[in-house]
This record gives sequence, structure tokens and C-alpha cells, in this order.
Amino acid sequence: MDVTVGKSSPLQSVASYGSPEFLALLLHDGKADINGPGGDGNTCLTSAVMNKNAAMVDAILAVEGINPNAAGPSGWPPIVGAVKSANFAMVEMLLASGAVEINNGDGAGWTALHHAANNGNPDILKTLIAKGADLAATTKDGLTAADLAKRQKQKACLAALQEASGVPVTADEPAESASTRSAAGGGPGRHSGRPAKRGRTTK
Amino acid sequence: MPIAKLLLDSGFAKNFHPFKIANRDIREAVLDYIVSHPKDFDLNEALEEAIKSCPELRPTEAEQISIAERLIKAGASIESVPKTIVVNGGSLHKTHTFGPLFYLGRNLYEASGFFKALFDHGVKLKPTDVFYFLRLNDVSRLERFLNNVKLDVNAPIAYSLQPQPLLHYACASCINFETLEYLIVKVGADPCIVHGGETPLSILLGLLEWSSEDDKTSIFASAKLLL
Repeated sequence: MDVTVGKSSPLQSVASYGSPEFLALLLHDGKADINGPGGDGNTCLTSAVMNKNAAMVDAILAVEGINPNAAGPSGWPPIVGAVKSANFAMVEMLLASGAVEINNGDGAGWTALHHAANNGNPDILKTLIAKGADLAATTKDGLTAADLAKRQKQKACLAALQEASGVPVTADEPAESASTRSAAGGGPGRHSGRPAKRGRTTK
Repeated sequence: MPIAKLLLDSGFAKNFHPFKIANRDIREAVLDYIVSHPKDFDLNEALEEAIKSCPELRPTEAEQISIAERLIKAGASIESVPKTIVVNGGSLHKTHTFGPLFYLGRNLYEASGFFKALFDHGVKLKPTDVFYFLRLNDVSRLERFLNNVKLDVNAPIAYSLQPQPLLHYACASCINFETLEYLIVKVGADPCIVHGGETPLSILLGLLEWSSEDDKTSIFASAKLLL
């Protein structure tokens, strides 16, 4: 039985709404790929994180062979999923595991820091910075987290980014990064913050 | 009888049907009147309404059998008949097949007595009626159906807009462990079959989102069976 088949695969459903007993049942024969993407492109860890199922996040992180950074081609890395769902506790849980690549991006190159800045989550953003998030990382459109914070008028996030980088960005400065302006000769269009290609999203 | 006559003359019982009257004695009196005046009533509709009342009134199985027997004896049809219905405020007319089995399909959890009566009267069954029997969560009746109707349980069966294999439907409908076990072990339903990008297991576990703790216990048992 392939437990990764399904619009929401068995692994994803269990990760989102089940309990560790269900996970043990699905993994009992050792054949299931714990890091494989489900129907919406997300791994079961991302599904658990985005549905705030702390017991399952714990259980999945304890599975042998788990890659806490795995993401399908159209999915989000778990840390990005946690930030997108604005769940501080999940961000902390993932970071506490010690193996999270904090600067991994989604299909559009958006890292957790980009999403935190874009969505206006200063607490999460500060935690990410404290854990070494790359302030200069750019999306595929060439935007830094500060560019996004400014564009979305996320003042608290922008201030935190300015403080961390020591490079003030004035309120009347264009949102685009210097590198984008010089390379493209103009500003990129707005970005949805979603990976380039998506299936059904996990709730 | 005077009460029944009064209710019927006032239009109450006729329009709202005796099976929506909570008082059993009055309900019986109206039913007595209907079956003794079969030409004045649409008995098919009366039978349908009796079935439809089950979730609200919860008549006992014995009472259901009694109502069905009396209406059928008076002339109610047990077969499904095409009916044209008006939808979208009259902009669309659609012909659907209605009849006792159709309504049983919607109220099966409460209407096992009606089901039994129809079955005993030899209602003509089609392969697609398997869904009604499946939802009874009663292995013996499902077995009785499958012994009478030829059916490939692993082929998609046209029940709704999206035909699907029986086990997929069963897993989407919270069918109990015993019925799933019967389908897999005795009937040969394949738990690994992929249809529409889904396995029976993916459908079953998709129910977790809306499940109570009790439901989760039975989903766990069924999942174990499917694996």
C-alpha cells in the first residue's frame, strides 16, 4: 500500500489530523517514504506544521530518516510552512530540532524570513534572525526580506530587519533591492509569496 | 378517525403528511384513513414521506415495517419512478429517478424497517443500489444483495457524478469495520486500487479532519484492515 497516494495522502492526513498511533501504523512495514511529498506537494512534516499538530510534529521529527528540510517540487519546506501559517510555536519546535536549514526557500525562492517579513510576523522574524536567517537572501524576483516588509508596510518587521542589518532603509526609498534595480533596470512585479507551481494547499 | 378526517380536511395532514405528526396515535389514525381511501391520496408519495420522516420521528423498525406493509398493500409502488423536478426557481427542469429506494438511500441509518419491507416485497434491484445496502452497515443484508445482483466490486460504479469502486465509496461513507472486512475478505474488494488519484486508505484517512475521538478509533481499526 502506497501511503503517499492521494490528493491528501494518508501520511499527510495523519500528519494533519491524526495521532502518533496512526503514524506508527502507516510506517509499520518500513516502506513508506516519510520525506515524500503528498498530493499537494508538501511533506507530512509540512502538513503537520501547517495544521499545528504539535504531537505529530514531535512524532515525525523522531522518525528515523526524517529530513526536516524536505519539500516536494511544488511544496513548502516545513520551516516556511510554519511561518506561512504564522505559528510561532511550530517555528520554535522546528528550530529546536537543530537540523533545520533556515535559509531554504520555496519554489519562488522565498525563505521563511521573506514570508515573515511579507506577512508581518515580527516575533517570528526576530527569532529567525536570531537563529541566523540570511538578511540578504533574495527571492527569484530579487527581493530581500526588507524589500517585502517595506512593500507591505510591515513597519515592525522592517525596523527589526534594519536593526539587524545595520543598514537603514528610509521610508521613501523604493521597495526593490539595489541588486534588482541594477540587474533589471526596473522593479519586479508583485509576488504572491507562493511557490511557482502549486497543487491543492494543505489546510 | 374524526381527528384524522379533521386533519386531512384542514389540509394539514395532506400537505404535511401524517408522518410528520409526532403523536403516534394520531399518525396511526391518519394512516388508517389514507389506506382506507387509497384513491384520494398519492400512495407513492405517502411511502416516500414516511421514509423521509425517519430522521425526525424515529419510528421503531416494527412501526416502519407496519407502515410500509399497509401502504404497499393499499397500492404504493416499491419501484423507482422517473419524476421531473423544477430547480433553480423554475429555470431548469430535470428528470430524476425517485422512489422508496432513493429516499432510503438518504435515510438508511434510521429507516431499516422500510428497507426490510421493500426487500421482502421483492423490490427490483440494480447494481447501483449496492450503495443503499452498503450504507446499512449490515453485512447480512449486503451479502443478500450481492448474492442477487451481479457486480464487479473493483470497477467504478456509477452512483453519483463521479463513479467509483465500492471500497472507495465505503471508505468515504464511514462504513463499519465488519462491512469493510466482508468486502475485502469475502467479496474480493482490492484495498490497493487507485481511482481518481485516491486509494481507499487515502479517502478513509481524509475523514480524520472531521472526526470525533470515537470516530478516530474506528477509522484506526479500518485503516489497519486496509493496510
